[in-house]
Amino acid sequence: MDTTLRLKDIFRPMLITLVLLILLEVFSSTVMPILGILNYRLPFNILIIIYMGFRVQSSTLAIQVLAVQYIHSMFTIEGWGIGTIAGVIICMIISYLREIVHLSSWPLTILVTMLFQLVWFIISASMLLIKSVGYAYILDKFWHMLPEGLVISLMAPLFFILMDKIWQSNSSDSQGDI
Amino acid sequence: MNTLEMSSRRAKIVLHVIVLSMALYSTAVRDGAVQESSPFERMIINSVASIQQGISGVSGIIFQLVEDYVANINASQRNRRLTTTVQELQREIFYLDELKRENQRLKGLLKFGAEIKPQKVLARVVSWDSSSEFKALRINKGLKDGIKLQSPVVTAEGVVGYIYRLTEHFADVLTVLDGNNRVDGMIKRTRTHGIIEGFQRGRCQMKYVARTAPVILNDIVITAGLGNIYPKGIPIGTISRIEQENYGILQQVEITPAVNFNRLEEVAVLVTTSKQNKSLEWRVLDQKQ
Repeated sequence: MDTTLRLKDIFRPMLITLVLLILLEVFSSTVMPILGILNYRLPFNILIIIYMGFRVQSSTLAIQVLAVQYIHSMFTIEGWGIGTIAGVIICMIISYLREIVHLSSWPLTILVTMLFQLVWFIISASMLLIKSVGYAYILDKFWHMLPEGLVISLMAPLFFILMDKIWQSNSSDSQGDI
Repeated sequence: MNTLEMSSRRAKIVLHVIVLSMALYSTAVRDGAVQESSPFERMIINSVASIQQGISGVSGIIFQLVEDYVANINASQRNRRLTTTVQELQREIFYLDELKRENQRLKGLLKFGAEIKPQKVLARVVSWDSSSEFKALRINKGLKDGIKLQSPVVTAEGVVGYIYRLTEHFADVLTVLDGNNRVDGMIKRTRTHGIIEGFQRGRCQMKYVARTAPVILNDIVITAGLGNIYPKGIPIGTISRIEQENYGILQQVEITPAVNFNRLEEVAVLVTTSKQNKSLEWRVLDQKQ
């Protein structure tokens, strides 16, 4: 009974989150190239997953990560596999660190978001290396990730406020359980 | 910890394991060369691509207005027309030159089989890949326009890529800038073969070129027609960097693509009426073994 209620509570904000993701992906894949930014994209999917890792504590978190990555894969040829693995592992890491890491201030939120993007990069790079991608490719990916990650991290505090409204989570409460 | 929490925790672990397994399986079996999309994926891509097309169209109109009316109306229009004509003529000359060389070499020695002439489907670029590490783009033509998976995509300047994912009204093109795209190419002057792959900073690299091959800067690289995707003789780019070591049997060759991807707005998809499915060369070889 309780689990059903929880699923009902998750469904609506998750749907809004996915619609938001679609709009942000359209911005990243269409508006940014129109503005002349062809070599850099903003990975909003990572930002959403980091948020969910911190604030959304539900048993279906892995499926939510999968849903985000699945929608993301409609806009890229990357596929959903590697991102889902990275996302689920990051959510698992966050679940262990939630008691220690609190997104209590803007600088801390920026720092933590950047750190988790580095973790995301390490996981996805490891997966790519297993698939025998060269080191030059990984290095190139890293140099792209740094500015993109920095911009995303700077956006994180404001974005998390918006996400708090969608998920009706209290941002001052670091646990933010739903 | 009460029973409810325990069961919730157990469900969470089970779901994590299932999703991770699915993702691992998907990553392991994923085909980097082409992607078949499900009806659900097609539906979503068609819907979101329409938004992308709308935005792209509006911006195109705005840019066009600024270019045509705020700047110089007549000069701009004439310039655009003439540029297109010159590009078309350059391509024609290139093809004729290539044909001439081919004929000279093979005259009287070979009989060519009947070739199926590809039709051109003109399409507009509506968006780019949302991940910066992949170099793909989305065009506003799809299955309904006769496009097939792996159809080559070109412009007047040269090769753009091939159709990687397809829906009814839109298609994703894997460009030659992407590391997953491999083109069998050759240097026009020396007929030296190599495999062209996407590299870094908007460049490609030509692999498997022997160290003794007489390659020089600005050599033109064209498609060899052996990869089962691209027709022979389409320009890929020019050699912009050569690195030779004192050891080894190969040299590193970097290519600047002929197509200016920063200003890519329209492309042509080459579609044959043949119903025969294309198989990538390496896959055909695998099957024969």
